[in-house]
Amino acid sequence: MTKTQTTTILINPITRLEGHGKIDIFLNDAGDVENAYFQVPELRGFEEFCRGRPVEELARITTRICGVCPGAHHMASSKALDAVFHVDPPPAAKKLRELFYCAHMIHSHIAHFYALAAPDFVLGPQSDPAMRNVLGVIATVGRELGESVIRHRAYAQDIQALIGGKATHPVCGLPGGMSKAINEEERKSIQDMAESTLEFAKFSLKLFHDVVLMNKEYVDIVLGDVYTMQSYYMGLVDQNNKVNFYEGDIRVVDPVGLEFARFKPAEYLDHIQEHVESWTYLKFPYLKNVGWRGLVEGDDSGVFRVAPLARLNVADGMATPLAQEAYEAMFSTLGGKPVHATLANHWARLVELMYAAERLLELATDAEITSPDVRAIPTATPDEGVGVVEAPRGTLFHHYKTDSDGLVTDLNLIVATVNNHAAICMSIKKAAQALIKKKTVSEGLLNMVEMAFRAYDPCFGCATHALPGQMPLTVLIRDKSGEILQKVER
Amino acid sequence: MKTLVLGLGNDMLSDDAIGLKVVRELARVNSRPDVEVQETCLASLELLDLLVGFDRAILVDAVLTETGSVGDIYDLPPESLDIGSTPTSLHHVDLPNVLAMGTGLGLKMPEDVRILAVKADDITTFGGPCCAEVEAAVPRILDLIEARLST
Repeated sequence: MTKTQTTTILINPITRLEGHGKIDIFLNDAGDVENAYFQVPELRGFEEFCRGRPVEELARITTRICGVCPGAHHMASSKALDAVFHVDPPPAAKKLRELFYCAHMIHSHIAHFYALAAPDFVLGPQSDPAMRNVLGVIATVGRELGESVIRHRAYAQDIQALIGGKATHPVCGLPGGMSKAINEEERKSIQDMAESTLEFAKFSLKLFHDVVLMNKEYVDIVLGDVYTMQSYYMGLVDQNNKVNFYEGDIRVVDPVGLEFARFKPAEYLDHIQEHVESWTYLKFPYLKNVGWRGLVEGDDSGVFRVAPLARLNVADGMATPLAQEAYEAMFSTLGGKPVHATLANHWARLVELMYAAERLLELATDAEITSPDVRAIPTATPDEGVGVVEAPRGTLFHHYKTDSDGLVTDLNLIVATVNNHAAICMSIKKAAQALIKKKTVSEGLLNMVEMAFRAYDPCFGCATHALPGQMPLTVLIRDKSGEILQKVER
Repeated sequence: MKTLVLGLGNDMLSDDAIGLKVVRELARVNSRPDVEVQETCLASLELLDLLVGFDRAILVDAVLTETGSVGDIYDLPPESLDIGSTPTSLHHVDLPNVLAMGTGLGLKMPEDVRILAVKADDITTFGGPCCAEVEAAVPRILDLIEARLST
């Protein structure tokens, strides 16, 4: 990492999107880290694009925001539409949506764990970067694992396609329910896939246990100071305070794990406010009733976190037996609730994989799931509604307002990565603080920063899609006046 | 030989629609039974499923570059997108990684992959049209695809 690298063009002729994944690290007079910020490209005009359109179109338009997680937007949007039209879907419709959504979660969690998280742990963070990928994981664990990963990811896609019309851009959600029911033959095929997925979830937890937990070095990394951050946590819970991906109340716990707030999705503006900084268009949501104190930890800072670890931290447990076992094992190993170790998100993701698989099987064998009664036709005048789901990456809010003809007058979306925005900046700062002392940057800065990133699985480029590219991480290290001292990148 | 011509992009995002425009035009005239024309606004690892089973793939997309002029066409091998690091997010798994993962998992991935990329001006404004320079690239890309399919 010499200064000569500052003029290196990453990929010629292709280069990064302006501002894409750019991290600015500001040093103080002593040359230590003062603050760290990341920048993402600004998407313009989404509100204007949606304004004036029939609100029911938003369930299909908002899926196009992101090339990776359309299922989450479709579900949040469908629920917001129920609220806009004041209609309650029949029980079978809700179950079908939840079934679809369990499959979405399974698909995302499998891909994240095996393609992104496992390489750091199965092979070790210090291993050769050329081998530290999913292929290295397969080489270590065995070829049949690869086959299993692909098969269960495909099952999750098949189930989404079966219910959603299309696996990737579902069109099933309507105000008041679903566009079609499933028949017995479809139900049976979902049941078979769910049973297999449940076995795969067991295997995945065992793999995590054998490979990560049996290795003290890895556990030390997970629990180390660099990746630990005291914050509030937010997530959806059911009436028994168990994790729920599809519906429930939003619960917030404080840094010692006590319930700080519990509210309905429609009340979110009473609890969440968005802080604006001049250097980024991306806002910083924070807890209104705690207040914004900047990018700082602790119980007087309104910074909160979402995503798998946050969901487990806010809940009193899991609603299914094997997931509950895994949940208890995680918290007892990591020293009780709440767990502040950012990297524990990977473990939490596997606990959730188990829950999603068990819940999928429950729903697939529910007597009501093949009911043809999947739609309540809206009759009320549309006006305003909020829909909230837990996206794989955390709590997702859709809020629409319409005129009496149902044409959109206003909308507000808060996506999971934005909810985690402050926390991600702070996690980067911690990694940077560990590796930059008195203006000297240690080797491994990018690795450490990337490991912090990956735990959140952030979605920086939602909708900015040009080329199937990867985010080239660029870190600019600046002095107090903003002058660039060094640039670190791949 | 089974060939996939895949248009990538988001038709709500100004110049990012170019890949879709090209393949829609191609789909209208394509009569080759061994050539499948598809469009998608998916990205990252999600592309894996679309590429499986083909011998050859031609991807059409928008690109941002530091040099050149808007509307310029680049004919690139997947390696040109390789920045040689582990992906940081499921949203940012690059094409070389997608192809390597597929192959490593024992899936049949296309061996011959090319990317036809058009230098874009704006890919971040919702609802905007493709600019004239980018739009003008459509017939030229169709010629390039035709030449490639004929070999």
